[in-house]
Amino acid sequence: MITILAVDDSRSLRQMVVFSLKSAGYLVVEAEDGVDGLEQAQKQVFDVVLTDQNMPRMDGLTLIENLRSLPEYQKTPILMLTTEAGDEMKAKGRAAGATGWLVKPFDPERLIAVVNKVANKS
Amino acid sequence: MAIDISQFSEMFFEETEELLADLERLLLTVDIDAPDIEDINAIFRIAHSIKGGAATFGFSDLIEITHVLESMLDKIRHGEDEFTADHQEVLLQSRDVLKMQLDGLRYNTPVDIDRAVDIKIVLMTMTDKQSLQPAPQVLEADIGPVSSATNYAKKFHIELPVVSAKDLESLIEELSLLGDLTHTQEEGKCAILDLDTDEGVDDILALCSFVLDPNLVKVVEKNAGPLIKAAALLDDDDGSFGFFDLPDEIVVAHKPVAVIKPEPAPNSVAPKKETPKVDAAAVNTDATSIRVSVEKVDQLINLVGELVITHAMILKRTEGMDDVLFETLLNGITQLGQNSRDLQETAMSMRMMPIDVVFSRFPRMVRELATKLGKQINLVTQGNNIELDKGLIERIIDPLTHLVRNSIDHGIETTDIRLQKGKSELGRLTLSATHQGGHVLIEVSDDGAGLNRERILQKAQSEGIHIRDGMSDDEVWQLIFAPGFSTAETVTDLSGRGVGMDVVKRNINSLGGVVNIKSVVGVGTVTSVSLPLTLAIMDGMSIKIGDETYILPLNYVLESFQPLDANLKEINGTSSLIFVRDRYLPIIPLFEVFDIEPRHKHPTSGILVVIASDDKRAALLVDELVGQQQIVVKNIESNFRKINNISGATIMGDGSVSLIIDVSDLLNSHYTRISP
Repeated sequence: MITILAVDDSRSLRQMVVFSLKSAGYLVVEAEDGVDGLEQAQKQVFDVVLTDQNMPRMDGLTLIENLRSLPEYQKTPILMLTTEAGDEMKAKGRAAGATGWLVKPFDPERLIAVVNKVANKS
Repeated sequence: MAIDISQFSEMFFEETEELLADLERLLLTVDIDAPDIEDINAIFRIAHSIKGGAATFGFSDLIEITHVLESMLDKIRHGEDEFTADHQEVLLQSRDVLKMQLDGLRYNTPVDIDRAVDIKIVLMTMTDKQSLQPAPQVLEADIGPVSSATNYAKKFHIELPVVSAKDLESLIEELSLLGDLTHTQEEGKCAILDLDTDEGVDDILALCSFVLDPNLVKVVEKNAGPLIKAAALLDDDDGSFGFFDLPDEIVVAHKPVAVIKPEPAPNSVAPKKETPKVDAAAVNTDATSIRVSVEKVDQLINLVGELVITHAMILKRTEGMDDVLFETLLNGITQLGQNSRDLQETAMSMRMMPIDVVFSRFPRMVRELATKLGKQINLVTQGNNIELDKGLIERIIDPLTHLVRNSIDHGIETTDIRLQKGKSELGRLTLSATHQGGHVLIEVSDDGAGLNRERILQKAQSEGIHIRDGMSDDEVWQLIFAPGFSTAETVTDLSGRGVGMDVVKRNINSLGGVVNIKSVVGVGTVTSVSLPLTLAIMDGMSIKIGDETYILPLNYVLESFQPLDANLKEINGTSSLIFVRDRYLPIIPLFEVFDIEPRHKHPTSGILVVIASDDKRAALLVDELVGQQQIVVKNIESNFRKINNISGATIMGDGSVSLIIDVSDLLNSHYTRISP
């Protein structure tokens, strides 16, 4: 079973992400900010990581940088869920090591489709 | 598969409600002269989170203001703008508007659209309009970013397979429409095109597909590394998502969950949390708390209440059983009683909320009122962690608000007067909560002018309220609680809302609480409110009339006794009075009120119980006092209807139902009957 780490400080958004992905057959673990996400990611290796950008304690970009510095997360798909999708943010995301981005707001179907894509699942 | 996102709305509402409360708290604590960047960031994140959630769950009303707020705060946090008192004020107002909009969405309460528009205009004026981008719309209307800049956002390197010169020409012509195109031909083999454009790789491939197989085209975004081929994209790509790398190169580890060794990676920056966490895969991260609906908690409390009663019933049945013969059974029952009481206590504690929920409302109110009245007030809150039943918390807000208003309006003097009197110009208002036995004592104290004895007496006299010579200070202060009493000579818009202290007192009494005032002229006033910890359990005195058992809430009971014939006085041969402690009290024969055949019809053979509420007193004639006990209060109104003189019911140890007497109701109806 593919396990996904969903990092977002908004409880409701997290719940939607978890619900959507679970309904698509994924195993999802939640984290409420970058620090929490990093901690979870060190307890177990996730197959896909989804992270919000703007969060207290540690933002998404920093989380991605930290994950990429771990040997287990060199090639793991990491998607940024962000409200900003300007070139600046994309450049920052790329520099931090993100695999791709998904602009908020998104609907559950879109999220599942994108995750399916990176998880190589059709 | 369609997922209905409306199921997440309630959580979004709750979350937004909390975020708005956080926003208010942050705004009131932020130091305007030297704002902490962390606070500004936190405020920004609140606006950001609400906007994000609102957009996702389709509440476009909330987006407008949060979007402008976000822009304004973004400038401040990047040092482009300075945080001022104006920002604080307008942010507080925005919070109110957002709360109004939220309530409108959640509870269908009216929403003042003009107010929302006004605040948005103010916000936009305060933020440089140029820097504002249009607010994002909710999902349905969302289309990818469209750029109109002359400098193209992307540079593509396109390698074409070998094609005929004619095809190449038409392709170049088509692609030129997308942006600036440069063509370099590599000898013999393939053509290379460099394209500066705003369009995506999709559009390029789509154009190519008119002349050749798009799978043979290699498109690379120059400043971005390899881009995905058309085939790898989702069908409806609109720029709302994308990948920096080819999905083929992304490795998804299809392997069982691996557990990494406990020591963190060398370059990890994760700060350690003190709380050890359980298996992360199995539980949600909010392991320290879960959200449960109040109904479920109430149901649990109810069931536990039933359990306690069932235990009492079993216990009653075992009366008279041989201690030796049934030792293990009796021990078991004792154990069960202990456990169910512990369980009850735990269940009750789930309904408890910190009084901070109430106290946190006041900093803002105090600030606003003080500014309005030209006073300087320092609000101190103490005992914010003291817990009270949720039902009490909700119902104590209004009376407390009234008391705080009174202190600010009538208590604390204006700065000039304070200076004249040699006091510090900063008035002090303290809200405190402390435990006192089974009660919680909430005190509102100020260092203001104190109550004016003469003025209260004068006012009472002119209002026709009964006063007598030599009243003690405490008795004089109690006059404030009389209906129709208000000393404010000029009715301000703060306290003069037509709600007097009598209403405050009645509300507090209806919660089983008591309100008291202590005051010293020139030094200040302390108003104390003593409340029971919970409404669901109370101490009751069970009494008997005929075969019926009733419960009197113990806090209304003053004393009970068997009267002497000499102290009884009859009026008109119908009602009688009893002389107790230097005053005459009316006797209310309960058997008449509830229409029951009693064992004793005459006071001298029965028992009189003196009850008091709102300064009204009376002696109830009952047959027998059964005892005192803690009872679990059951609501009758919600299951049946309101019954006169009855406030609820409880189930007794023997399984029978007893009604709880509504003492204030009983006294009020009696007094209206005797003094029309």
